[in-house]
Amino acid sequence: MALLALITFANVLVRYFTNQSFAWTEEISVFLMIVLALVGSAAAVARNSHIRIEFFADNGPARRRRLLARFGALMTALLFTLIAVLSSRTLYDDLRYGETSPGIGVPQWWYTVWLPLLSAVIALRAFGIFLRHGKKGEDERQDGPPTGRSQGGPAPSGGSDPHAVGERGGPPSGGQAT
Amino acid sequence: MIAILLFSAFLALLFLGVPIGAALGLAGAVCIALANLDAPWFGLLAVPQNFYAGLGKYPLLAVPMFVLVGSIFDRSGVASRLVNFAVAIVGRGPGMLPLVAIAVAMFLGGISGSGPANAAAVGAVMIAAMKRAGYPPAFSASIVGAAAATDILIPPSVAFIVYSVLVPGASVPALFAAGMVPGVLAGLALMVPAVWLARKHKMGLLEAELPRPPFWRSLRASLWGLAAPVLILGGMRAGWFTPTEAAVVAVFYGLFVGMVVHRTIRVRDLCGILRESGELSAVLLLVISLAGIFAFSLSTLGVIDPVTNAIVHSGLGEYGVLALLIVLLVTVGMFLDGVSIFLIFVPLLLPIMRHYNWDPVWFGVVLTLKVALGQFTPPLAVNLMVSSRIAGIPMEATVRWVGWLLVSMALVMVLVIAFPQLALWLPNVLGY
Amino acid sequence: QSNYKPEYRMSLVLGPPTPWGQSGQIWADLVKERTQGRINIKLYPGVSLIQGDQTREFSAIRQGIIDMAVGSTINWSPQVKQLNLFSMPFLMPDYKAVDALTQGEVGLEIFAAIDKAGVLPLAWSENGYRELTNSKRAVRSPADLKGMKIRVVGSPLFADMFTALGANPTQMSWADAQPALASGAVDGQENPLFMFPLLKLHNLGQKFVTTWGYMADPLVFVVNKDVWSSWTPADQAIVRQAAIDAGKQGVAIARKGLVEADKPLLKEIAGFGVTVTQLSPAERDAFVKATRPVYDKWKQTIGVDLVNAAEKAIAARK
Ligand code: NA
Ligand code: NA
Repeated sequence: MALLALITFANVLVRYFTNQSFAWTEEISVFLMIVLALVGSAAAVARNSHIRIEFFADNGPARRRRLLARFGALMTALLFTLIAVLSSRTLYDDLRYGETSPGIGVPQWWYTVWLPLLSAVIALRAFGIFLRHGKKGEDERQDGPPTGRSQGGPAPSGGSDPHAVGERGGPPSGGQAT
Repeated sequence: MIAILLFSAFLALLFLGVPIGAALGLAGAVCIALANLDAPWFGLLAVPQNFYAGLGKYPLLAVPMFVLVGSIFDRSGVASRLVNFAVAIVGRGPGMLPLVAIAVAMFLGGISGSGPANAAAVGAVMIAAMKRAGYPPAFSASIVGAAAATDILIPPSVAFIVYSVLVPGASVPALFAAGMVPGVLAGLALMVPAVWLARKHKMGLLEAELPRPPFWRSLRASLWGLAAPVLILGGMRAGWFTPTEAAVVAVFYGLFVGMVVHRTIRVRDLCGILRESGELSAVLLLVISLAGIFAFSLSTLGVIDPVTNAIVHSGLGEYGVLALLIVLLVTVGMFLDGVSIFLIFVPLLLPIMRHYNWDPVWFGVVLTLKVALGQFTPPLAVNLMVSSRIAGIPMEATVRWVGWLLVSMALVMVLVIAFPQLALWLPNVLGY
Repeated sequence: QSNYKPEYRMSLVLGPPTPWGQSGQIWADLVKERTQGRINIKLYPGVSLIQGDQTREFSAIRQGIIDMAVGSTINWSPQVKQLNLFSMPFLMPDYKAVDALTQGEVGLEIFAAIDKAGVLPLAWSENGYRELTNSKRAVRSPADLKGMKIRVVGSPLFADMFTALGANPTQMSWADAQPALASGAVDGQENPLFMFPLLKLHNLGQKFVTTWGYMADPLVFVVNKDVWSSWTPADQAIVRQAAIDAGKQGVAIARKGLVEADKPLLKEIAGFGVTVTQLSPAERDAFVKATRPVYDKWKQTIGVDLVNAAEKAIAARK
């Protein structure tokens, strides 16, 4: 995971210092970012450091906390199972129609094959958490005290920054035939 | 109907502690399926496509990189040297250390792109120093948490990068320039209650007894840190690099300073830094990509137009609507972090913005100010969480102090709303 | 009739002020009017149905995420390699050549390729000739382009072409390109000329325009196949005819200001203090020669027979 980050950075570095930006750096950097997001997310699932509201889920009786933790893990597993199945279908599409990547023209499935695989990994990890919390039973208290009323996870947790989605076009936006 | 389900399912999942990304994705997917019962696969192929496309954007590459910049500068030893230099300038005395903390946080804001990283860097140095000087830890944690919130206003800023990806007509450089003046104003505004509270409650009485660092030596020690924002912001302005590239340059500059100049980062620390920032950015990026599914649902269910119409024709008038939005966002901001606020509300607010012909850059600054406030509004306040943890206190302990700081920064937001030129003047001058 | 959707989603890159957006708007309006509201179409400009990812738009139509679209041949070339034909450097010297391709046998062959790729094509419109602008000097020969950093659209063919001309092609999103142009980090870009006043390119330092007409980007009206088969034959005929009619109007809008004898659009652009350079036939030939290896390389990819047919159709135009 750390290596992926480094490769991404190195890629942009090449783009800058050779004073020549290759199409492949952009395409591969973006692809690596997606892989980074999925691999890192799998790790974050295991550590329960995904951004969430812990106000209700992490306060109150241990039984309720455990129940909600299981519920959260199950929902995560459900969503990523769905994504894994559906993205296998789009992967099949990419293969069947021989799609090529827009930037450098390599087969599109080289990129898209990772989405179902890594989604499945996330789903499995979340499901593992679901099962683990189920077994714990009496030992629940050993999970340590509730983390408080904010996000857990490693120090400068990223919950901070506004994030959003969607490059709406209109004349001043969009990358291709603009 | 389905639209109501979209929001209620999302909120229910959210309050039950389901990760926000999963809540966005699941609510979105269920509503896509319900709205397309006749379509093959229930139209659900939109799920992986929007998941992938939501994230697959080159400008977003700046997000993990500015997270990494934060992690690196956190450990580069720049903050402590800046603090020494600032103390050398303003000297010792009651209320001086909070002033220094805010000034240094603003300065680091010119390097890093997110609030919590800033709070970690400043908190690590200042909270201990303020304790030695006799400030209560809860006060120090409040000051650091609030000061670090200026980070997302002062360029570079991850918040602006994401807003720009979301809003056509608001370019990253224009937003960066527009955040500068309000960011500095916000910092100055925080200084007033900080110093006043310190004097009123006779805090920091031990401060005067601490030695004052020599000016020239501390200047020389802090030069590397002082040069960083000049390099990052100046380089972008001069056209040497795009925001994404600026982040990469900052990464390597920070590594150079930390490993070669200050020697606070060892080679074996690198793995940890990369690992931590990798996971931190993954958590952010995953919310961005899963929100792509939610956004698709939102735009195809046709809720945006009726909501816009209802608000626009509510008879509140332009400023009434703006006030309503602020009240709404402040309320929401008590429970939701900035990420979610932008993700959920910007698509809804864009048509309103267009209706009133609000400048998208100005609107972005106002929203970001709101998010900055949310970063230190309990109960969900990422910056306070970091600074409280460093101070070793529960976050509730900060409530007593943080209110004054919130009011003070909210006044800056009112100013920016009343005088849009505060935000728009600099981008105009720079020609963006 | 029972399985008609209350609203159909049309994807576009550019919204209604542009010829592209107007093509879509006219199509939607005609369909609604002629079907007495049985088929309602909502426009989603900015490819917002797939978070702005233009290069995946075509797949999204095939998969039913998007019901219908007016799309660019450049954006869909990753899925339909034959669409690269229109990007072949200096293949189409004038508008008659464009029409000879889209309105003739070649157009039908390309429609067959789109159909085979899983989407139903109905009609053609136009985005227009992409012309070169830059901040440095008037470009009259490939030598003038040497070393210039040019922002190009994201397709391997374009990168090849600009490299062959000695320029330094750079792929970036328009959001990145704007500040890069303003600060001089990137020297030039290429786009249809109607975009020049719309994007205020003169404010981004673009002081020189060369109308070299190296490629023209037609637009294609398409419908998802499942959606199409859910309509009655009568409604299918209405939608198809509306697309053809909208396409004709769209082409006229795209060419407005460029086909009149005094080319008022060029005058408008010159009015911004911009130097507009129109190449003489000899000057154009130098560019044709320099890009010939790229042309030959891509002829193989696109299909020798199709390119030959295109060349023949263009040679035979009136
Ligand atoms: Na900042
Ligand atoms: Na933008």
